[in-house]
Amino acid sequence: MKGTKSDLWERNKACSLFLERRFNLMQSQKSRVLGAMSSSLPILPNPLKGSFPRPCNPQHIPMSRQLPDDSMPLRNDIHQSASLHPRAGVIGAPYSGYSASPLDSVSNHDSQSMVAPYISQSSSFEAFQSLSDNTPGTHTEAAWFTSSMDVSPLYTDNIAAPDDNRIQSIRPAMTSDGTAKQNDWWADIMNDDWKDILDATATDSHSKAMIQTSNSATSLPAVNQSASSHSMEICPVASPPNSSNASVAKQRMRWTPELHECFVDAVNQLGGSEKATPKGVLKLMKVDGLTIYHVKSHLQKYRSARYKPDLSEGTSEKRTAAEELVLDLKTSMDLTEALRLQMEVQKRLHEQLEIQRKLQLRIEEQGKYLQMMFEKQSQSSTEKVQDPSSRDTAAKPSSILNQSANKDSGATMDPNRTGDSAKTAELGERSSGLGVKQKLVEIESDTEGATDDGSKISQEKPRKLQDS
Amino acid sequence: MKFGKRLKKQVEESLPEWRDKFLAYKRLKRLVRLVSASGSSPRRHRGSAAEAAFLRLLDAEVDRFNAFFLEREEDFVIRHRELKEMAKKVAEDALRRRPLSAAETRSVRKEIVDLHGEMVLLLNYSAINYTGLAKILKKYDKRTGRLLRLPFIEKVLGQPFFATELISRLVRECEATMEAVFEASRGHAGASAGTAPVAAVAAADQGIFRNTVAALVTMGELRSGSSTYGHFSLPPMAPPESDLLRCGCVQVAAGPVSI
Repeated sequence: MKGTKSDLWERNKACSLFLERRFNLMQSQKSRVLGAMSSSLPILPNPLKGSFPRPCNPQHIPMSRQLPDDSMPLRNDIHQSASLHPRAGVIGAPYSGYSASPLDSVSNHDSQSMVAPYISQSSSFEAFQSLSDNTPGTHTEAAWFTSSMDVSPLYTDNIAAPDDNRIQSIRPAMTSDGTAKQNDWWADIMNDDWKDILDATATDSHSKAMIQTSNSATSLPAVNQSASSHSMEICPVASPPNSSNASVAKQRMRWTPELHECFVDAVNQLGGSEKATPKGVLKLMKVDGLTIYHVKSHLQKYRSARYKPDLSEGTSEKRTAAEELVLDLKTSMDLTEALRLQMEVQKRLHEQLEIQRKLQLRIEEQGKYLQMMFEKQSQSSTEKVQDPSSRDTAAKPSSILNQSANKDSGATMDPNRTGDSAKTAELGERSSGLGVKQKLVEIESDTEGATDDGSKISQEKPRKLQDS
Repeated sequence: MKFGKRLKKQVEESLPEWRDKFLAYKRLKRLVRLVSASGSSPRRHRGSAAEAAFLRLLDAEVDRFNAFFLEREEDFVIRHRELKEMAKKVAEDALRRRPLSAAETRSVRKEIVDLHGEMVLLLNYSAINYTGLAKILKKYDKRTGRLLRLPFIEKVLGQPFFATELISRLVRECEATMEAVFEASRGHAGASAGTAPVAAVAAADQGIFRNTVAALVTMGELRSGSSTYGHFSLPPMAPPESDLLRCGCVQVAAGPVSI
């Protein structure tokens, strides 16, 4: 029986732990968001971190509205945003704060005070006080950018072994456009109205830079749809027009089997799916970060899942005995066959999808590796620029860029590099050709083993290198 | 055939509730055209507006995928657990020589197979949308000369809708459960004569089955080579077992999809 108290306790602890972890991620995101605005506030360590020493299986990724725009790694050491004790209210608070209250003061320095009024509106005042307090390492764009670069190699592990016990953290963006990243977070908080206000009154160059690039940066349409004319662009499918406050309450939860088990246990303790109330279940589960909305909707789904099977059994028994006998024999045989066939096809599709996915991940990994390598090359060869070669490359950077863009080689140069460094990057390809070539050959031999594309890579790269 | 057309076909073949959840590929393509049409200068108002719209739409789409995916996943987790319980019951009853009615056994089996099918289709959903995103990003980069693709795809790789390991695991568990159920109640089914499946069997079967077949076909087509085959493209799929698909096509042609 699964109902023993110790089991339940274990499971609850497990539930709490991985939810806590999940919300730690969310908190770190928040701290970065706030860090973008205030550059010199310390952060407090998580007082409760010690109480959950046992690792769990947090295979799910936290759901939050910030997710699509968050491109920073979630390393605590980088952002010094030690995880805070997650509280359900915390998640909702910033959004309701931001979307509800208009901005009065808009300069960058004022943006620091902008944070405070909203914090005070939320129920978890202390949490945000501490959240917005970062240790005085400067959280400038450059710092973020370089730190993400440092961390990114580690994330290849994540791609290769997604099933391991760690939280699947958000992959860091390989963009070297630090301002773009910062604008993502900025855009997270701001909706379009605020951008306009910022446009109008910003004086500080910092905020100006953010505004300019924020116009072309990704924003958070689902949350910020309310007054914006851009809502036309957005698929009106699932998101209600005024979703800013609704979405706050409904941060998406990732229901794992373990969490669901926890849920079922709680429900059973309360006497079954019909008798159990969301509030009761929530209390029993004792999972941090779980809101009553999550439980409510989950309970609804659970109830309907249990109700239907009973129904279908009932109706099928309504046939007459004779009918049933005939139908049973015939349809059982046929059904078995049909089911087998269906199963076969489904299995095959699954198999193919798995293969495809592995390949895709691998390809992306390769591309990232190549780009990293070329960037490294360019960095090292900046020191040893040779004149004859530079004349050559001066003539052809655009053609190489085009080639890269067309062939999607992953060795593309990012737009923020100046012309000079682009040339030196090309230089990196040519002058230190031997080292690069060697590494390429290594990659190619890897890929060639797996896919046909390997041959394509090996054709393309040496050709490019030999083009000088 | 171009991806847009294939996507459209796939969407048509998919389960009705899913049809509007796929990537808005055409709209994104239009935006890309707008961006490049208004000139390469990013400072031009029209161009930057289209770009902003493009980026916003991309994010919105990712949001949508995540929402839909998580919702379906939750549903599957619930159903999976229920079915496991039921399968256990079936197995126990079979052992205790107290067989369930054929109808019940039938329905349990059907449900397991259907759940399996839907989960695989969700995986397919994720894959198709990922492919679409990758393609549209490639187009964008090509047209605008920017480098949005790599960082954005990185982001996508970390999204919940792409983290399909849980569903995959559930699929495999489902297969195991299926084996157990079929084993346990083999006696009731009678000799399976390999007769042509009766079309009268629940239409839901048709829906999922048909979708699955369509998905396989589409995948095969998508991977059979394109004009811009590069080292970011996938290799061609192994040719599908022809008789398997033939049966599938016969079934598909047999009746209209109605769920």
